[in-house]
Amino acid sequence: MKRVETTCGYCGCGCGIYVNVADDDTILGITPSYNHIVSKGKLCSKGWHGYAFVRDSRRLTSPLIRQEDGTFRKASWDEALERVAEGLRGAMMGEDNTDRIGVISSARCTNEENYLMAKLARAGLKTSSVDHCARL
Amino acid sequence: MDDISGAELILVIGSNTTEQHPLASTRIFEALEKGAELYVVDPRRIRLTDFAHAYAAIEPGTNLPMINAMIHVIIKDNLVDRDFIKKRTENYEEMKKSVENCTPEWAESISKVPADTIRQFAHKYATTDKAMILFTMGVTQQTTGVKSIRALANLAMITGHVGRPSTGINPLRGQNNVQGAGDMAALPDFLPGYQRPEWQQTKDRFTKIWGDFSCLRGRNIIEMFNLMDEGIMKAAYIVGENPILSDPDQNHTIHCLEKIPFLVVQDIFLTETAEYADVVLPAASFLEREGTYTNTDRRVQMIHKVIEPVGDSKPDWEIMIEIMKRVGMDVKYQCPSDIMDEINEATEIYGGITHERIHDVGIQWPCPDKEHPGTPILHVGEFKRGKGLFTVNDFEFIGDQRTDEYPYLLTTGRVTHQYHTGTMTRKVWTLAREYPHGFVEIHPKDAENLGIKNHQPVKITSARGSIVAPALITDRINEKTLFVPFHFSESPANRLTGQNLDPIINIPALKVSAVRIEVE
Repeated sequence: MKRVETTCGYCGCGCGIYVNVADDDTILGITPSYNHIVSKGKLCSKGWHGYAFVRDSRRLTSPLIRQEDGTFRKASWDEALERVAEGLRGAMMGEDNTDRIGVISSARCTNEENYLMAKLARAGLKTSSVDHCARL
Repeated sequence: MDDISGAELILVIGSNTTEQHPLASTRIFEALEKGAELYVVDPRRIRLTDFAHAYAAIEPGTNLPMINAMIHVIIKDNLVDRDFIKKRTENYEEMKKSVENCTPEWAESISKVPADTIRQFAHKYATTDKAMILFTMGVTQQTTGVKSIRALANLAMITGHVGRPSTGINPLRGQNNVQGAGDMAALPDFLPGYQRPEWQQTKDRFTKIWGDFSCLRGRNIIEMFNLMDEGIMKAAYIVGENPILSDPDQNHTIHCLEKIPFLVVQDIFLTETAEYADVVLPAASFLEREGTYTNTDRRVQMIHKVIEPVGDSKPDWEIMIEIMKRVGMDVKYQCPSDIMDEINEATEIYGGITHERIHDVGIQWPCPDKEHPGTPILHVGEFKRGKGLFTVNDFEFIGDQRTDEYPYLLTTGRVTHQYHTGTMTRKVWTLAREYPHGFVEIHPKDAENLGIKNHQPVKITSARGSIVAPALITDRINEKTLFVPFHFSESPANRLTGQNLDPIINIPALKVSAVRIEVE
C-alpha cells in the first residue's frame, strides 16, 4: 500500500488529504493530513468519501466525435485533436476573434492549466473571450 | 483561516458556511468556544443560526439597504474610527452624505429586518475590536452584488476593521481552485496576475513571453452565450464546466449550445453540456495529475498524481498543450512545473512560487520572489491602491420582484454532501444517499395555504421555465420565499433563474427569482 499526500479537490478550503492506494492501484480510502495547516486533521463528508467517482464506469475513457446521425463514436486522440484544431482554426478570421471564439476554463483545473487556457485563448486563438465559473 | 478562530465577532452574510465550507466553519466554532459572538444574515435559518447570538432573516436581494443602514447607524451614533478614516481613506464625506437617508426604518421596509436588529448589528460590529465579515454568493449573486461588497468595504473602513488579524471582509471562495482560475486570468478583463491588458507595461511583458496576443476586454460567460444566440460566436472550447446546470436560464443555455457551429467539451464524464458537443475530450480527475490549486486563503498548494489516468483519459494540461501545438503555437513544456516557471516570469504575485518551494504548507500570494515567505494578510498598513476609497452605493430595485403572477422569491444554493452540478458527488453512493434528489423548501404557512403536503411533488414556475420537485416544509425558510439546490439535473434550479445581471460585473442574480408554486 502507498499513501500519497495531496490537496482535496472539492471546495476552496483546500484541505490536506492522504489517498491510500493498494498495490494493484485500487483506491482504499482517504485519511486526513493531521498536521495540515488548513484542515488540522479534519475533513468533511466530501473529503472523506468523495473519491469513489474516480473509477466510476461512466467515466469518459476515450475521445468522442459526433456523427452525422447525431450519435457519438469513439475516436483516437490524434483524430479528435485534429478535429478540434480544425474547428477552432476554422472559426478564426482576421486579426482578432474575441466575438467569434469563446474559451471557458474551470475552477476545477490547476493554476498551470488555467494559465495555459488564458494563453491558448489570447495568444493562440486570438480571442480575449476567456472566462470561468466564478460568477456562478 | 486561523484568522477566523481569533475573531471576537464573526458576521456571516450570505454564506451557508457549515454546508459549503465545512472546514472554514470549524474555525467559526473554534472562535465561539473562545467566547466570540456570531451574527448571521440570511433568508434561511441555516445551521449556523442555531449557534448565532443574533440573526437577521433578510429578504433575498436586500443586503445593500441593511448594510447602508448599519453604516448610517454607526455614523449617527458616533462609533466611527476617526483616526483610521483620516489616515487611511478618502471620499468619506461623500459616502456619509449618501447614507444620510438610509435609516434602519427605511431598510426594514425593504429587507424586512427589524430596525432594532439592524441597530444591534451595527453597534456590535462597530464596538468589537476583532470583528470580521465572512461572505459568499449570497451577497454577490444579485443585481446589487458589487455595490453590496463595496458597502461592506465602507462598513469595514469606517470602523477600522481592515488590515489587522481577524478583521476584514473575507469572501470564502467556492470551488477548489476558483481563486487560482482568476489569478491565472481565466477572465476576460485581465492577464495573469490581475494585470490589465490595456496597460502598456502588461502588453510589453506578455508580448515578450507570448508573442502577439489579443489584448481586448473580452466577453464573459453570460455575454459569450448571448453571442452564440446571435449567431456571431462560431466556436467554443469548454473545459470542466457544466453550464447547463450551473448557468442561469437553462432553456436559453441549451438553445445557445445547440446553435453554436462548433463546440468542444473536455470533462471527466459525459455531462449534460457535453451531450451538445461536436468533440468530447476525456480528462483525468484531480487524483490523476500534478499541479497546484490556490485556496480561499490565497494559499498555493500542490496536488499529486495518485493513480494513472483512467482509460485513455489525459490530464487537462496535456490536452491543452496538444491543442496549442495544433493551432500553431510553439510549446515546450514537459511538465506542470515548467508551466509554473513561466507563471513566475509572467506575474508578480506568483513570482516566487515554485513547485519546489510549496511542498510543505504552500505559499500565500503575493510572493514576488524566491526569497519571499508569502503574505498571510492583505492591506496591512496600506491598501493596495494607497488610500482606501469610500464609495457611494445607492440601492435600487433591478430584476425580479414578487408579482401577482409570481408571488414567491426563489433563492438557490447547495447542500453539504453535493458539489456544484453533482457530476462527481452524485456518483459517490455514500454522498448520494444523503440527498438522493432535489427539493424545494417552503414555509409551513405557505404550504398550508396552498394545500401542499411534505414530500409532495410541486411545480415551480418562473418567467423562464418550470421544474417539479418534492416539497420540504420547514420554518427554516422565510415566508413567501423558496429554496431549491442547483445540483440536481432532474429538478434544475437554473431552469428558473434568469438573466438579471449585476450591471457592474455581470454576475447573474441566481439568488433572486420571482416564481409561483403549485401542487403538481
